[in-house]
Amino acid sequence: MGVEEKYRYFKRLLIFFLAVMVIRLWHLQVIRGDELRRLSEQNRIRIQKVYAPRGMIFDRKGRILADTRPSFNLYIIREDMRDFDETVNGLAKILNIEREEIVEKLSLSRDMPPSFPVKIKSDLTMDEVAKVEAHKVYVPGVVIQVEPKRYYPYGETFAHMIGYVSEISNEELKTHKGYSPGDYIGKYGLERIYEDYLRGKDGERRVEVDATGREIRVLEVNEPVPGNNLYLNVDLDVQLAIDKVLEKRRGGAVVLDVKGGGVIALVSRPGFDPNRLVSGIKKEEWAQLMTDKNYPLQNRVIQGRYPPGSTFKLAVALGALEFGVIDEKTSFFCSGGLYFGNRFFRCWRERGHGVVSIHKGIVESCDVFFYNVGLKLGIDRIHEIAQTLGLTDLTGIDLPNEKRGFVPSSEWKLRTFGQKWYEGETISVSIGQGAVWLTPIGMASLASIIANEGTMYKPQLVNRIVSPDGKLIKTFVPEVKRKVNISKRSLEILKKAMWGVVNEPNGTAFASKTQIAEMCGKTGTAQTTSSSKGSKGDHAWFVAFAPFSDPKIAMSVIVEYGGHGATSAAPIAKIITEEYFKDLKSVKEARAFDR
Amino acid sequence: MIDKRRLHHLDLYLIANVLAIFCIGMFNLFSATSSFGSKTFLAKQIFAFLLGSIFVLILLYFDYRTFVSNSFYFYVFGLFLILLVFILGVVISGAKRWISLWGFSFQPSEFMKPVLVILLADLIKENIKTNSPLGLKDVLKPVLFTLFPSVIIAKQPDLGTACVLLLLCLSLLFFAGMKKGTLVALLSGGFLLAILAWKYGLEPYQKMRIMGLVNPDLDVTGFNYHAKQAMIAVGSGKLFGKGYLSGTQHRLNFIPEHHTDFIFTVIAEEWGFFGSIFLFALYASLILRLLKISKETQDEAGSIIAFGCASVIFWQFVINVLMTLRLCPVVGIPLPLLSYGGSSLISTLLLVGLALNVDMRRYMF
Repeated sequence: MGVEEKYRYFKRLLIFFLAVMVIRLWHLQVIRGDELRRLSEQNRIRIQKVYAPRGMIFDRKGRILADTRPSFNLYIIREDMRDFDETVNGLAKILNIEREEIVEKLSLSRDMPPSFPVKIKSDLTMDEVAKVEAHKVYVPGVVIQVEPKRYYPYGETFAHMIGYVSEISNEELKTHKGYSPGDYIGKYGLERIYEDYLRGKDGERRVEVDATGREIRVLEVNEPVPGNNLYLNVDLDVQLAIDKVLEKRRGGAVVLDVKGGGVIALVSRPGFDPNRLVSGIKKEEWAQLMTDKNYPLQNRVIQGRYPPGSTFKLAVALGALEFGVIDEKTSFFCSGGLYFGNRFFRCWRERGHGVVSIHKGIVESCDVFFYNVGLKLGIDRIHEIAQTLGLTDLTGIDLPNEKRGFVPSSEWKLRTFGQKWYEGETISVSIGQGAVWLTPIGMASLASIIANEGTMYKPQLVNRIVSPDGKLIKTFVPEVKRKVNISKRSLEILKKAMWGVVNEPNGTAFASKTQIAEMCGKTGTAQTTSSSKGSKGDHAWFVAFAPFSDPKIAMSVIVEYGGHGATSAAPIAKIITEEYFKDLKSVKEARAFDR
Repeated sequence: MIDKRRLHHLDLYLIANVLAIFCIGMFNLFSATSSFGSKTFLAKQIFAFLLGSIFVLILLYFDYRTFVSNSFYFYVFGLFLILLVFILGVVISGAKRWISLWGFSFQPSEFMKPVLVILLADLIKENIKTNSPLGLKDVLKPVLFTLFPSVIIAKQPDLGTACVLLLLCLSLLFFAGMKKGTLVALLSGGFLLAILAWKYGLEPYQKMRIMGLVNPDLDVTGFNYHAKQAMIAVGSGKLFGKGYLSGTQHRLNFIPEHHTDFIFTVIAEEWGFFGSIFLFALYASLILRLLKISKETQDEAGSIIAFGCASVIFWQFVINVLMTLRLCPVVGIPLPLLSYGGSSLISTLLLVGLALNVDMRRYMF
């Protein structure tokens, strides 16, 4: 090979490589030019979400029940990490958390673009913020943002009413449009029902960033729009008063506005601290809440179904009067019990009540009187009156997962057990035992119907929705579910009897008589499982309204295993009434509010 | 020793070509480093250029044949310097390649390039004179002399420079001409070396770079992420580029080393396809000019030197651009005259100076 030839070879090599380069350049810059240009634009422009503050929740007097406060949240932007392990291990060390926790959070958002900030921890303490900021260079990709966060100043008190928000779950992401991982969503209570109103419109910031995610400049800001505010019918004072007496017990109470159905208070205990759920609790903690024997996650007022005990006598009495089975004067003799078939049904008072008519039957809660009335009425008419009074229906309160009450019928027994109904069973049902299961909200609704003489309102927590700039978005006018077709005469008899329960010396709740307003009610002591099985005692009920003339509020109180309704539940109703009517001013305010 | 007659023979075309590339390089470096907020890069580069020019003037004063006949001493001194790195070396981004001296750091491995050119010229000039193809025995010495510093340099680690040295040796052996058997033996030896290097010599990150070329989605956050960003930068330049000082990819630091090894991304992003082609043309012209000198020189050693200079610049240019375009694995090879780095610039100027020296004295027989 001559020297000349070698030069030629070398030149050919040069031409070959030049050709490769030019072709590749053409491929990248011309054929893929548009695509790569777009990628380079995306590289430098990043769209950051600016979370909108959630709407606030106020009580009827404008006091804050659910607020937003600033919180420091920590994110990882995967694109900005230099090295996966460097950032993840470094962060785990700084925050003193498990590495797997971070990895899991990152993997949840793996379908999002690499520039998507993945929330690793929310609500950092000032200490943690300082630590992360100090070590920021060692954990590239980590950013801390200040964002609005839900705060419930009264904690457990409103847990079952207002509920709580927390980060959207994977399942929810699939069913809810317009949410991304890390967003908050109402999970329970009003937060869930009014999610669409409370949730604001998140804003956006378009910023130019460098390769480490550092902001170079802000190109455009789309301000977030805060959510709408809710004004409730609820009175904070009444709620707090109830919560104070129920705090260490299991039970619930609900107070309704007789003239419109507004919910003045709704407490269910035990509860949980909604603020802890907002920050996101550990799996074990959640499991503990779920399996707690005291069912802190159950709203007893709308989900708890209890045998109503003697409070059911109100419904039976109304049925008997309406169906003409008895009248005001019809009386039975109570000797302390009733033989039926080969069984002896006892009255709660062993020595008996003597001659009992309907007034005395309710005031002294004579069982024998109602055994007789029940037998005359028959199960199907009891079922019918319960239906008429809405006891087997949902009340339609603006809370999620309300449960329906249950009152049996012969048709039901035949259908489910294929057996005929025995009259002996009617005897139990007529004093609210057996297969009768009612919710406190249903019983409060019954008291309200009696008090306002026949109007069934839908219980309503939210009074109105107001936009952040003060515009009225929606007002919830009282919604009449239906007019209950019961004669005024029967209702008057019942009202008088309920007055007697509290205000007559022989009334079962005479001890809870109050000077502030004439409270009227009915006690109930519901037997739980048979006493032989070591039951923890009876459920104490009290269903009431006040005042006697021109009633304003109706309520029901249940204390699980509280014993006698007269001794456990009625005093709570007394506290409620006294709190509500503590000065007439509050009555006037309530009126002004309702307008 | 230097007289006017010889200065007449100075290849002004070659000098203009080099200056053209260097000037483009300075403007480009200004853009590439503007986001750093420091002017020291430009100042240092200009200083290195002036220093290199002085070296070239000194170099031109002596007859290149003096260097060739004393090439072994240069070689020993060069080896001494690269070994010194292991003792006095400064670690910059994980590699120990630099020696710091009176506030300046320089990279001895760069100076191995011109040194090896004259040493190899010395070793194989006789074969060319007699026009006898190299046998296995003739090849042994040049190969060993190249392998020794290459392995040391590769361990610093500076795989790029080591590769360039090996390619230089290979090019010159090819230039001298080899027997068929020798060629086969050399190639199979090279292949064996590659396998050994893969198994024992290469660091995991180096393997990752090679694998990343085959599978671009591998390790997207780490190294290949940057290689991908370089590709985006080049592509986003399209036909006419984004305009001077407007390359967002490098200005926002999406590309690491965009002022050194990845300098070509800045050109491609800001000047587009046509700008890049223009730069290629300047490099092609430079290489062809060096080949012309090699061809026109009667003296074998001079011819080899000019060819060696051409091949060093050629391989650096080709590998650097190909790795920027994601056509070959990323090894640290600077783009001659364009990349920031004093040692590389001076080394390139010395190579050009050697070629000028050869050209000046081509009629001295």
